Formats: sequence, structure tokens, C-alpha cells
Amino acid sequence: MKKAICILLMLTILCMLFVACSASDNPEEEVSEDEQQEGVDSASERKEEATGETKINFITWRAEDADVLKEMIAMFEAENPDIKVNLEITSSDMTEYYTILKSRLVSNEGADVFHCHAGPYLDQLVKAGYCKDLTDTGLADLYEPEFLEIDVIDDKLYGLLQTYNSFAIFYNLKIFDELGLQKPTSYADVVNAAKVSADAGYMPIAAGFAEAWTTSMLYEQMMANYVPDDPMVFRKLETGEAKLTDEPYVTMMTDLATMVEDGLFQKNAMGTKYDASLSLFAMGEASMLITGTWSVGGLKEMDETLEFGLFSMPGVNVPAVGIISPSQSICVNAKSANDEAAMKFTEYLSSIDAGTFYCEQTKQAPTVKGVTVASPELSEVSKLMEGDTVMLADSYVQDPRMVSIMDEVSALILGGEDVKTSLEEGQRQIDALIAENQDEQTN
Amino acid sequence: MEEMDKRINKRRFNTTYLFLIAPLAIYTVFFVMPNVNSLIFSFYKWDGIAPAKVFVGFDNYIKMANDPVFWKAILNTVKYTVTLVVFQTLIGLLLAVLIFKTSKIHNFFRTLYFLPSVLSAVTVGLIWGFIYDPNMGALNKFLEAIGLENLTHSWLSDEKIVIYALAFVHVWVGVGQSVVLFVAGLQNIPYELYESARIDGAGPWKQFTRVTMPMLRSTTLIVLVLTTIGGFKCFDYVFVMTGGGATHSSEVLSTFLYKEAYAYSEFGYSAAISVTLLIIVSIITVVQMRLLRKKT
Repeated sequence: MKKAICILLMLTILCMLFVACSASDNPEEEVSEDEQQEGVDSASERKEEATGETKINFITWRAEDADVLKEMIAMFEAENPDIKVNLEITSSDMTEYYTILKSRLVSNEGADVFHCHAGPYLDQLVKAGYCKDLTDTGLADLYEPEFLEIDVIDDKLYGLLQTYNSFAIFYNLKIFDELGLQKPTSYADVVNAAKVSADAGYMPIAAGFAEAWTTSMLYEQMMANYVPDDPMVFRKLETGEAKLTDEPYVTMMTDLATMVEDGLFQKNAMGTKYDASLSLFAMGEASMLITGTWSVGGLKEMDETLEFGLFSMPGVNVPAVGIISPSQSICVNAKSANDEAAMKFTEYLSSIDAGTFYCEQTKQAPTVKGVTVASPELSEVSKLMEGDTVMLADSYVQDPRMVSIMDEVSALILGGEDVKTSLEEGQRQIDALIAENQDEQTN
Repeated sequence: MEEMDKRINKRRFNTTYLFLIAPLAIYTVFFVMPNVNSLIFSFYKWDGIAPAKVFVGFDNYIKMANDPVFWKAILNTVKYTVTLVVFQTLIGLLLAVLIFKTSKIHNFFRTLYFLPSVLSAVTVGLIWGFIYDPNMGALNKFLEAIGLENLTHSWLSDEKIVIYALAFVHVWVGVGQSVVLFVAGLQNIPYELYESARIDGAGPWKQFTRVTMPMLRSTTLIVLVLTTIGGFKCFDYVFVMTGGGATHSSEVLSTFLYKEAYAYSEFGYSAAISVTLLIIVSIITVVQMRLLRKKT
């Protein structure tokens, strides 16, 4: 009898655990948004009653800006003593960052204001209802209009682009002086600089192609050079309007193969990680480096005495154009229990004072109206934008797999694979992706 | 008296059940339920964030069967596991036999071999990432220094060798554990068996093949089971050093399912891959355990 009671007791406890833990996992029993909101509201009210202040969380991946952001938060809190902002820097790895961010948003725990990339990530969060519509909040008026479009989905504004970057080839001024080289302005100049550098025992362009995303700095620049008036050029591949085996994709990818043949990159570029490529340049082993303007501050931190110039990579047969690569956008959680405080903080981040301080300290280009930054490094960045400029094309792609396919195809070509075969394989994958997405829409 | 014994036994039996509740509850919550959830998710299309999950039946499994990256990941996982099992077992056995004596110097070597096992996977990945670096890495620099420039490689991007380079790191970490298990096995072999073998005229090699190896059979099978499971579950070293790249040349099942879930928000598909991985590991473990029972 006692044995039966014991077994019954065990089964009861296990059933209770099972039910308690699995209730929310049942797809048929989703808790409504209102119910979730009520729960958060009451929890938040309790918190506010107890402490007398509103606490909001600001989540970002930008560990390199930690000190600057902390100072900005201190200034905001001094102006708004009733609001406390908790800065949470999660991971600089984007996959990990969005995993953590999503879990916070889904569980309604601590993500009132957050950074997000325009494009597929923002699109997904908007569709899931986690980004507040900022269209009629007046915040848009604080930004230069050309930087707002990137965060607009279905005619509504869901993010505020805080800064922008550009891809560039960095060149070591000391080495260039030593070798009698000038800032390259054409593809022939770049080939010459690479050859002279290699002959003198320096690596030419340090590239960290072991991480597939780094190849995008090259193929997106090439694409912008060839079709500066078509920012939707990658989106067309995703919708099936164009094929990777058509022009201008073939010419653009052939350029990458030509660059490898011309010895522009260091030996083993495909096995070099991105951080290692930065080190090679900072240590003076390489005369040039392919990266983005976001590296300016980091390189200076590695070696304060390092002096470098920047130029945009030209195509084999076309000159270079400047690229505007959107950096982080500021988003507000649509389900935040502390909406008023979150909006106040967002307004502060969008102010001229905060924008100037942030861009000056982090060496990033501003998007807020009226912000002017007098940093010598940023003036180099702004020189990249003196001619024609293009808003980065892949931000308009909706499916992150599309970006991965392009990264892989370009990695294959940079690794020495045949251009035609690589493009055909890439197109086969794109066709499969399109078919899958169409199936989903049909279902 | 008999009645009293019965009562005591019954009470012991009941107490045993009560003590079992806690571990069974933990096992249910942290092992059974996540796996049941994975099985359920594998029949849905879900991005991991939107409230709506769409039931798609076996679509995720069909997609997996037609996905060339999945088959590449399977092949890479098998290559990784075979390399790990062969080298970790052989090197572990060799080192265990060499250091199987109780002296201070042998204890020192035992600790030395075991040391990599206590390092975190991320630390190991970073250390070996630096060693394998094609431009500044210690391995290529060493090969150049001893005049073997032609053997230098881009270890983590050459698709022909990357998976073996990664498996070697796992061997480096795990060999200490094999040594500990084999040394424990060696300590259980009665000394008399060696004495008898010597009287019968057996030399060191014959003693090893006729006495040591048969007596270490169960230990060897334990090592084989553990390394096989470790090989199929490999994730951390691969993730830290290559992330499965370049162009999937080092993609293993764990990194593949991780990317599908967290980079592409395909939680349903990822769950289908994880269920498949669970089935593969379970089958191999059952087969190995049966072999273990038969042989012993």
C-alpha cells in the first residue's frame, strides 16, 4: 500500500512539474498580448512603488562603446532623476546578441530600449510586434531624412539610425611614405601598391576572410561601384527578379577573382580571422587593411601612434563610390511597461548634445540633424562620402539566408573556386530559398 | 523476527522511492521535457519569437533529407568522431601504459595530461585558434623554423584538413580523461597474471597483448562509448575556432542546428536536426553498450 502511495506521489509531482513547465509551450494556448502586458504592468508598478523611480533597460551589443554609453546615461539620469537606466551589453556576436534580445522580448524581461540592425532582424521583430511605431512621435524630425528610410517598414518608422559607417581600405601612412606610394585612386594604383608592398616584405591588403561576413565588405562595395543607382540589387535576387548568373553579378564576382589573381590580399587570407587582420595592420605587418570605418577607434586603441588614410575600393574597370553602411538603430519595445521613460531616453539619445558626444567619442558618422563632429579621424571618413554615395544594398534583403548565400559564394571565389560554378551553385541555393519562401506564403 | 525484517525492508524500499523523487524530477525537467519539446517543435514552422507556430508535419524532416548542408554536416561529424575515437583511445592507452607506476614523476605526468581537460572550451578554442593562425600562429612559425615550410597550412580554412585539425584539439583536451580511465583499469589487473605469463615465457609485447588488453576490454569500451558520444555532440571547439566555416567545410551537426535556430530563426527545422542527432547518438550508444555487455 505504502509502495503504491509513494509511486502515486512521485507521479503526481512529475505531472505537476510537467504541466507547470509546458503550459506556455503549447502552441494552442498562447497567452494573449493584453494578458502579457497586464502582467508586466503590475510587476513594474510594484517595482516603481518600492523604489520611487522608473527603471528601464537599454540593451546593446556595442561593447566598444561601453564607457561612452555609461557617461551618456549618467548625463541623462542627472537630467531625469526619476529614471534609472540599466545598460546591458550582451555579446558582440550578432547571432548571440539577437538570441538574448529575443528571449528578453518574449519573456518581457528587461528590454525597454534596444539596438537593432535595419533589414531582416528589424523586420522579424516588427512582425512579431516588439518594435514601437515611432512615426508620429516627432522623433523623426530630429534626424536627417535620408537616414530614416532604412528603418521604415510598411510606411511606418520602427527605428532611428544612430550612426552610419562605410567600408574602406585603410592604408598605413608610414609604410606608404617609406615605399613612395600615394593614396590609390584607381584599381591599377591598388595593384601597384600591393605589388610594391609585397616586394618590400609587407603583406598587401590584410583581409580576415575566414569569417564569411567580411567578404561582404568587398562584394557590396563592388556592386555599389557597378550599379550605384540600384540599391535594391540584392533584393532583386531574393525576389527572383534577377539571377546571380546574370549581369552585373557576374562582372562583380569576376572582379573578386581578378583581385585574388593580382595578389591584392595576403597569403592565407581565407584562413585569417577578422581580428587577426586588424592586428596585422596595427602591428605594421600589412600596408593595407580591408575593414569598415567602425575600426577607426579600435585601431587607434591598439596603437595610438598608428597613422592611416582611407579610400574606397575601386572596381577593376570602374571608379569607387562611397558606401553608407547603416550601423545600429535605436528601437523602443512596443510592449515595454515603462514606455514613457523609454521614450524620454530615446529622445535624449536623439538630441544634438547626445549625438555629438556619441559620434565624437566613438568616431562614428552622425545621423542626427545639427550634429557636427570635428575629429580628424572622422574627417577621413567624411572624405569617403565626397563623391557619389550609395546606401548599403544588403540592408534591403529580407531573409538572412540570402546574405549567407552571397557571403559563401564570394568566399568560394576568393578561395580560388571557379566563378561560373560558384555562381551557379549560389543561384541553385537562391532558387531553393525562393521556393521555400513561396511555399510558406502559400501555406 | 521475520515480520520485523519485512517491515524494515519495506521502509527501506519506500525511503528509496522518496529519495528518487528529486533526481527523477530534475531529470524530467532538464532532460526529458526539453527533448519532448524538441520533438514537438520539429513538427512546426516557428521563428522562435512570433507567437504563431505553424504545424507542418514531417516537412522539416523532408527538408533535412534534401539539404546538402545536412549531409555535409553528417559526413564531417563522422570524420570528426572517428578521428577523435581512434586517436584519443590509442594515445590514451599508450600514455597510460607508459606512466602506470606510482612514483612522483608518474603522478606529475598524469596531472599534466589531465590539465587540458580542466580548461574551458572557449579558452581552448582561443588558444588553438592562435596556434593555427596561418600568418602569426605558432604551428606554422615552428614548421618554418625547422625548415618544413612546405608543410605550413591554412589549418582552419583548408577544407581537406580543417575537420581533422579541429578533432586534434578535442583529442588534446580529452586524452587526459582516457589516461585516467586506463590507469584505473590497469590498477585492477591482478599482478599474478603477469607473473604467470612471465613464467610461461611471455615477453613484454605478449604480456601486453595477452594479459593487459583482454583485461582492459571493459575500460576500452567505456572510453569508446564516451569519446563517440563526445564526438557526435562536438560543438564548442568547432564553434569557437571556425563556426562551421569556411563554406560549411567544418560544419558539424551541432553547429548546423545552432545556426538554423539562432542565425536563421528556423527553430522547427533546428529541432528536427536535434531530434535526428539524439536518435543517432542513442543508436550508437545502445550498440556499443550491448557490445560492452557481451564482451564482459
